[in-house]
Amino acid sequence: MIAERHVTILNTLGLHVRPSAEFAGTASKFRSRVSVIKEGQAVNAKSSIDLLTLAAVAGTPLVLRAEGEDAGEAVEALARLIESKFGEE
Amino acid sequence: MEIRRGIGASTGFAIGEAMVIDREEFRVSRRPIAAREAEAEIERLRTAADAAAAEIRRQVDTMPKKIREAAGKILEAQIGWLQEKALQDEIAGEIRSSLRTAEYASSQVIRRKIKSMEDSNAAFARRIASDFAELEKTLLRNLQGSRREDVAHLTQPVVIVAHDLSPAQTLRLDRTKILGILTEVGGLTSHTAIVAKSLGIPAVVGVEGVSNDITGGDTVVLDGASGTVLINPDEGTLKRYEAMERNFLLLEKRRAEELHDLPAVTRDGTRVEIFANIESPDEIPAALQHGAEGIGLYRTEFLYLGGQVPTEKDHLDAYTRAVSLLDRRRIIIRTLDLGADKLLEDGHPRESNPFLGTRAIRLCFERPELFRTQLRAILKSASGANVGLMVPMISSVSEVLQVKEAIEDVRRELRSREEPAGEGMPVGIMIEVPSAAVMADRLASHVDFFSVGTNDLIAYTIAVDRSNERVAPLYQPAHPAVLRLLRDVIAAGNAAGKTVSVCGEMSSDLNFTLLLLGIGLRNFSVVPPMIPDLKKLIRSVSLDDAKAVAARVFDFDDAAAALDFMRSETAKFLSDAP
Repeated sequence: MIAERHVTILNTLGLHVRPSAEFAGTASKFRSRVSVIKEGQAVNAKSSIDLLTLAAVAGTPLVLRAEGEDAGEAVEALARLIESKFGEE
Repeated sequence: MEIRRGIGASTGFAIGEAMVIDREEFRVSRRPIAAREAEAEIERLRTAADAAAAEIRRQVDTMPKKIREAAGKILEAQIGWLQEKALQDEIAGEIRSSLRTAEYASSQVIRRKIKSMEDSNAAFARRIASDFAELEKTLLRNLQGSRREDVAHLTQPVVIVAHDLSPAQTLRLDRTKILGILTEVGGLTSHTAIVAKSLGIPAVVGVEGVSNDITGGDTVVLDGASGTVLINPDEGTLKRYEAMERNFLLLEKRRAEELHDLPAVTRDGTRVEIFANIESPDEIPAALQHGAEGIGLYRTEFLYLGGQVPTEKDHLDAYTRAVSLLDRRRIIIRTLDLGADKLLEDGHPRESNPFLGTRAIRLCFERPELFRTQLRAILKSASGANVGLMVPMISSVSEVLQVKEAIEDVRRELRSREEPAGEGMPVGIMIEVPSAAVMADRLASHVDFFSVGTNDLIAYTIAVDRSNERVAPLYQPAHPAVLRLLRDVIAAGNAAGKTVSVCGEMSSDLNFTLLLLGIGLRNFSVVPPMIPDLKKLIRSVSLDDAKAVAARVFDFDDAAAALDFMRSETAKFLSDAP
């Protein structure tokens, strides 16, 4: 099963140290392989370091893509996290 | 290409890949690993990642609150990164696919990430890049903690680059894999220089900061005569140096041939003999080429290490070959000098202290058949030849008598079978146990010669195992107790008209040459590559010079001070030498 969702980074600091750690932590709860794609560059969503290499600042459009039995839920949870601005503001 | 200059400590050219060893800094080894080693490397990685996380955790916990508020967050993040499964898995994947060490794989993976962050147009990503560099260091430090790059485990020939080499490190050097040595500290008479010279390994010392300028795997060219060091030379330069190396080897051969025919005499005409130490008859041609007048120590252990106890024929074949290669020159064959634990054939009970246990002559007494087999072969080879027999680890007069009885017994057996029985063969002993050194005057009347094994004599006198890093600094050849024993042994032998030789490492160390000459030594048995230099030094001093140095050496209570003094005196004569 494959799930995909287009999202935009909304929080001011972008996918900085804490948000990326939180994002990777959430992604790791799922069995599916999850990746985050920015301008065609895909990284492992379960690696906060890889997420940092995306340098996704506020306003960056990203694609969330999951592959596996819980792909739908994974994409859903991660999209919600981004929409919640990681609890910022 | 970068050019650096240092002090040429041991002549010759070394051209090859660098391996950097350092005590403080981590180094990344590019060493390939076998596929079956990969899982162990991954295990090492995981352990090191945990240890690194724990290290940072301790750091955070001990920070003053104010600093923790400011800097704690990024350290907390580093802990998170280290513990994250994704990073460890990626490095593990790199280890498996590239078959390199955990250090190399970690470094590769983390540096890739640093690179992409540095290239990023987001300011925060560029800032985090430096935190990543810190993380890499912490991880590598923890990896190295569990296994430093070690000179004892070389898989391919390398040029060793180090801040300095400790005596324990040089002792473990795998001589066959070392093309050259390059250190940041040291002078002409430093430990590293002496060892390099005695092993015939080209070396340059005193090149400041060089271990930071060279990375493992760089191509390095050393010119051990001029002290020139080239880092990553271009193709043309490399070719030129390779040609120079060939020329040097040719010249070296010619130079040795010239000195070869000159005797080792002091300036005032005192004749000194220089013999060679060997482990196999195969080394005899090279020893003679270096100018050896004979073999002062033939270690026969080599015969025992093939996996089984040698037969009489194995012994005899080796000895007769040695005798014929030497063409009437003297050879001293030392009987078995192994510990019981080194004999592979039987399950000898483990000794808690093999160094003080059933080794050498003690093992021979316990296993008379083993001893008799070797004695028969030595006696046969000694008939009509210039062969002497030497017994190691003698600690009392009664042991000498027992040895002589065993020899006579074997002789009677040979005579009864009308076989050659080595009539008149000289019998000597190693002086390497302090009790024998103290009793040298009494022992002298029972033997034909002494040979001082300084390595063991030093170890037993100071009670130190120099391969144990924690006590290795206590191993001091210039310890006054050692030097007194040595002086007394040489005096006792000379007084009884018996030849005294020193065959331990001390005789190959030019810093001790003046002292040894001064206290009456007239026979040196050394590693073959050292012969030309030793001969040159002897030819440049007078006996009065040597006696004056020796007299001063005994004024020192401190080994380091005595060694410093001998070094500076030796350096004077070395620089004067033609």
